[in-house]
Amino acid sequence: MREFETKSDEVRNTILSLLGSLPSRLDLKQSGGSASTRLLEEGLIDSKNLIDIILEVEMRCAVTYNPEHISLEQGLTLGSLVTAFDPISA
Amino acid sequence: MHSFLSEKAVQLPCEDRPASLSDLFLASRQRFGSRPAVWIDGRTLTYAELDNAARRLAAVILQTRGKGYRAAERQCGLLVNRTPTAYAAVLASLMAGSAYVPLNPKFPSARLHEIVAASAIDTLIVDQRSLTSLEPLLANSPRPLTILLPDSDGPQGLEPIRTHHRIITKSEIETTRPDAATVRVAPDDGAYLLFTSGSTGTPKGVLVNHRNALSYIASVHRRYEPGPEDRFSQLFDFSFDLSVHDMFLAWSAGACVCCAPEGVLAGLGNYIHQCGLTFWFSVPSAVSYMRQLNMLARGSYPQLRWSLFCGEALPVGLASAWQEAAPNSGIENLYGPTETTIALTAYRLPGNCATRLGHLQTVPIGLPLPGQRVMVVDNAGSPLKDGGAGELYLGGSQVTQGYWRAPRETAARFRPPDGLDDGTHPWYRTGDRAVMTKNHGLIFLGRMDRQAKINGHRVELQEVETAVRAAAGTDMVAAFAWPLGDGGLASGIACFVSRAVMNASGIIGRCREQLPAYMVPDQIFDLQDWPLNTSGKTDYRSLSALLENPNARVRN
Repeated sequence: MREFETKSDEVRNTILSLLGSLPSRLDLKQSGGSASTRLLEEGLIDSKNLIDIILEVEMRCAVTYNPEHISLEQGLTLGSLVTAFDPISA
Repeated sequence: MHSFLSEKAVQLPCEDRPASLSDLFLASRQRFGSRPAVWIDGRTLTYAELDNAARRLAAVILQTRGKGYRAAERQCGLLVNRTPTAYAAVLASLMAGSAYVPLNPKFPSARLHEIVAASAIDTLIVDQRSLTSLEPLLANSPRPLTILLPDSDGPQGLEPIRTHHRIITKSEIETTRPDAATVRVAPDDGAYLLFTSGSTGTPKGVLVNHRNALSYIASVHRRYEPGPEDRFSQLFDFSFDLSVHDMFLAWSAGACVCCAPEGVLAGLGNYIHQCGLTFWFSVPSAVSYMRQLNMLARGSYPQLRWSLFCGEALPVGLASAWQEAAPNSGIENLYGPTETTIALTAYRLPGNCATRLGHLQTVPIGLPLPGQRVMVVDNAGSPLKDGGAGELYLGGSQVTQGYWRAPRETAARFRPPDGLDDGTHPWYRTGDRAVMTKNHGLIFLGRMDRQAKINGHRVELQEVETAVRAAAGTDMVAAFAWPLGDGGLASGIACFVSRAVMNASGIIGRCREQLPAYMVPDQIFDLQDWPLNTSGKTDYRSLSALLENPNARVRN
């Protein structure tokens, strides 16, 4: 459990770091960077950035993206993106 | 005669011959009133519900306009984004006899303002999700508009707009009785007006009329035989003409359009499963993303009956991966610029395409749809015999009348090949290079000019350069579609500048105020020495070579 939380934090921090390096239309701090922050609707990323971020997180954090975790109704939030990665099983 | 003429044009299987796109919907509404017409955000609208919402809006449009004009001379702007109101607004515009003009709220307000100013919009329908884009759009709009807010009573911030424009809110609209009758339109009346990237630096409009659109829908209806049980993907924004295919092919058959939510790119596989899609239509880039995210496992999407691709070249490897993921699906590659209505040619993928098309980089674009013509022409404007590579001309009932209020550009592009001006139908000169082959029909070979496709979006690189020039305060600017990813598909834009007065982030920021996101450069490279060719013009070949050599360029 502890290990999972640590991995989750690592993924979150990596995503935030990658988002911070984008020339976004909105300031990440301004929008709060909370779990409910809607990444696409608030203009923080576009679809091109999204794929780049997912692939970069997979590489840096040794996790795999699992789109089954993304709910169509709730949309893509910072929180849902963080939880959409599974640890690579040994 | 070297042109390829397809079989005779086909008719839609409706009892009454449809005169407009909305007639297709209305015919299905009669037969399938209680069936779902649209799925959106987990909610379903039946044909009857959507019809009711659209008729009410159409009634308001007609009441506010009054009499003494032809409806077709006016247009409805749609500032909407993936809401039930958006679909009702499309139908309401058509029922009121007007072409609709999509205003994508994701575009910068300067871009939207250009479109409003260039069109003949007198009414603007705005959904709640797009309200924040309304005030900046209208801040400097000299033409008074009627603004309909069907799903909101409008925020207080709209007060300054009210003095110049008429605003009608949800509560007023809801008290309006949906009219039983709709305005009759002529086949030559406009159905929708789209603005594409323009090489002169401003977007250019293409008005597609009902005859054009119905010709296309009739052809694909017969080709794919959709039924009321089918469920269609809708990945395209309304500002992309492929959205017309999704809506009106589905509605011509009593089927359901499933509107993909924002952010669906990260979960396209879920979208197919959760919505029970049977028809798929996307740009190849979407499939490239799915492959990168491991969503194309063998047999993943057995329920798909048809998978269609359009908007950019389809790499054979990508098509093969999709063929394995959707084993029960027919797969077709469609081709056609906006000027010739959605798509004018089609190629059906053979089984095991990796082997059978392995000698090709990209999937062929095939043969023309019924009633359409294609011709490959040499540099002198003369038709080429089979096997010769040249510029592709398209003719037939899907070819539009020209660019909106741009006679010079129309004369340059909408013209027949030499010796073929029989006056029976218009021709369009595509600027695409192609070759006609015996086994596969047409094969696309690239562009003859500097137009590029970024994730399926059409981009004139000169328009990007115009924006960068203004932002960077220098004439030494050159834009490229780059980097090239899966199968050569471009995913972004890189730009070289020299002697810029602003740094890269400043230039990108200024571009974001002018251009849609897909046209904004991702990277700006600063060069000390600007390469010129022997004519003293920018040497694009040298700059292209620099892109492939990271050590030779300096990031601004």
